[in-house]
Amino acid sequence: MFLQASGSSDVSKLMFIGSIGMITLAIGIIVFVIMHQRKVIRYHIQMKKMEADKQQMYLNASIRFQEEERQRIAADLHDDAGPLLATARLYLNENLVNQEKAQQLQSIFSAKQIIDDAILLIRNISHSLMPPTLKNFGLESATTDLFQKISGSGSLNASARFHDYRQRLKVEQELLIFRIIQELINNIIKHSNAGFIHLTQNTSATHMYIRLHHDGKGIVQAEFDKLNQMSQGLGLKNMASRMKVLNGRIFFEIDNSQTYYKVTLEIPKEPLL
Amino acid sequence: MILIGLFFAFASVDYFLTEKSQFNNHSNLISSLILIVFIIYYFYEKMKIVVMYPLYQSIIFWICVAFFLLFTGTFFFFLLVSYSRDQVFKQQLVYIYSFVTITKNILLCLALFATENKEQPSDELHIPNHMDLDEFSLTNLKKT
Repeated sequence: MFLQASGSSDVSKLMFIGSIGMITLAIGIIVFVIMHQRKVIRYHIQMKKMEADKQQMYLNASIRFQEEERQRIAADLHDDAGPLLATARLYLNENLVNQEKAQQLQSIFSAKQIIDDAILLIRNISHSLMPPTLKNFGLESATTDLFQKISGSGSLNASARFHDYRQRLKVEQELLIFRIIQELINNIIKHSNAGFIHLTQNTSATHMYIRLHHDGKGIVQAEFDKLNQMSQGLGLKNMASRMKVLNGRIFFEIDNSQTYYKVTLEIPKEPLL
Repeated sequence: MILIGLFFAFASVDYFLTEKSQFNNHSNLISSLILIVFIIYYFYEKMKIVVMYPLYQSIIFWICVAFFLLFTGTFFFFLLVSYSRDQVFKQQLVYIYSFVTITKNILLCLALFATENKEQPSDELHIPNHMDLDEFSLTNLKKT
């Protein structure tokens, strides 16, 4: 009614102003949506980065602490418990002087054997906590040594081949990789019922690659991700944490021929975070 | 679907009720209003969901922007068309309609060039092509 009553030029003016107003409002809404979304993205990226940094720091600290602790235990066992037991063996010899000769000989023989076993056991524990081969000769020697030991047991055919490991990684990186390989082998032996394990190593300009093949019952990446999110599977979680510290990737897959499973580790050559 | 049905019913009734000699603006006005509301709702939903790539990399976003400008720009024309048809009105209509149509077409062209950003899966390995990590085979193993 109002519009009909007012003049035609008023309607034109109203349409012009209204349309311009609507367009301005529409542009305003679009700009607001874009700006808001950009702000949200920036905020989330920042949060994500902070979260990742924090997580990385915790992981680094916990793994370093664990390794330091292991090294300390290894040193204690090797340097203190070993000589102590050896000395105990000597004391045992002196205290037996007043006994019957046959009994003395028997006791001495038994005690000596037990103590020898104990020394050997302690040495083994020490070596498993911090393999001296790894520290002194590097990942290649330690891995080859490990595979030879497995193969030597006769239950599993294990072999390792390093194509290009002329340039050693940092000791901390080697230790982390070695622990991952150990965990993988443990899992293969425990769960897969495999007949063989083969390790291949190679290096590109930026990364080092390690691939494990086995003919047992393995897992693929989706299963690994699923198991990793479940409360159990501490070994897998440790592997994932170690890979995170290394800034690397781990990938589980089955070969195209469906005859064997593969686990590939991709480790950047850049220094540890 | 309900809204489409309701709108169709309204448009049909409106078609028969309005004089054939007049420009039927009611259906256009209602459809513009519905689409404006839906597009604003789409923007609202997009603001709620957190995605890690900018909205302007999405094709649908540009299509929505194009039609949003078109419908908001022509909304007052549909509202007032039945009240005036003088020369000034027609002239202004040409300016506004041309502006929003050209803008809409440009935005639709932009939509064609929008590259949708798909986040890469993080577990993908970058093994160089020349590197053979599968040189091992069962026969190799038997030899060793």
